[in-house]
Amino acid sequence: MQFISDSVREAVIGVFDTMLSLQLEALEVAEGAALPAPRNGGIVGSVGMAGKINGTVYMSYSDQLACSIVEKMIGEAPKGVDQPEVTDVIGELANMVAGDLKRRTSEKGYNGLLVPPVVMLGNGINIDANGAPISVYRTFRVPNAAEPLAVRFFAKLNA
Amino acid sequence: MQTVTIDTPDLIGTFIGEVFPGVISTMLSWAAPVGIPFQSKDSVHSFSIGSINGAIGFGGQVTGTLFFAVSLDQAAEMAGALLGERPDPESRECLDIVGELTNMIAGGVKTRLQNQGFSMVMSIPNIIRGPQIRVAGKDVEFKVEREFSLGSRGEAARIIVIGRVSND
Repeated sequence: MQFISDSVREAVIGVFDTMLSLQLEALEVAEGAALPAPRNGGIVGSVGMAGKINGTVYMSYSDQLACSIVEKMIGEAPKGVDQPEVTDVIGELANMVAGDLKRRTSEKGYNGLLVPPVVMLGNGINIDANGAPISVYRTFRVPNAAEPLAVRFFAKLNA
Repeated sequence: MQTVTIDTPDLIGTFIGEVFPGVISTMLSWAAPVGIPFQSKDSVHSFSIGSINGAIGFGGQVTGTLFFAVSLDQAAEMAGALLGERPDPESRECLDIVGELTNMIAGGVKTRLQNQGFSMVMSIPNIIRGPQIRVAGKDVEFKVEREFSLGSRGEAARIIVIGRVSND
């Protein structure tokens, strides 16, 4: 499922360029059985899709990375990762990436309805594909950030 | 097509109450879990989930996410009921049973909503683990939560649905 992995990369890079004028660099990529053990993430934005494609995209940020992205978007540093403006931005970024991803998979015949964003906070959030046939893991270097953005997409295509 | 009313969250709560005891008694051969009356203080914009959680999204006239939230001990006890031997709480078997039960609970609720005329599609479950995870729902209007006594220690297991309704 190379097109899924490529679509994840293009969606993430495109959304960050459009929304934040940030040029992300794709780093690690893994699929299926090669999926590495999840890292601890401070905050995770997720959006599911259901239909001809069923799945969820998860975008994991360290607290510091999330706060720096929010500062770039709204022009003011948030007081903490649990502030509403942070969860709003992280949820919206997940929504836009999922929307772009859905558009790309629709062009291949796999359309789906988007699910409202869910944002999770905690130390050591561990997300398991639960046997999903498609498991894509990608990381991205964010300019001026010490830690990468990690994106996972777990999905199943319906004929 | 069903016209969604303000009572839709109540309907979801009723369906959870119908589906969950049947899923547990059928799958695990346990006595049907009993609902625990409670009043959640959490809002849809910030609520806690369990140490192991199945999460599944659904779209359509009712769109959102269902969480099946249990403790490590409950997950191990449920997996042990199926396997005949209690596995490590962090094992694959525990994640599998939580995922499967999440799928069955969500499927049961979805079928009942469809029988009422709601148009819906359901995604696939993932497992979310970790200590003290808090969740913020975005672009959602309601949160339905039901607690049930589950397992030999009578701990509370929770089913949480966040979402919004649409007449589109």
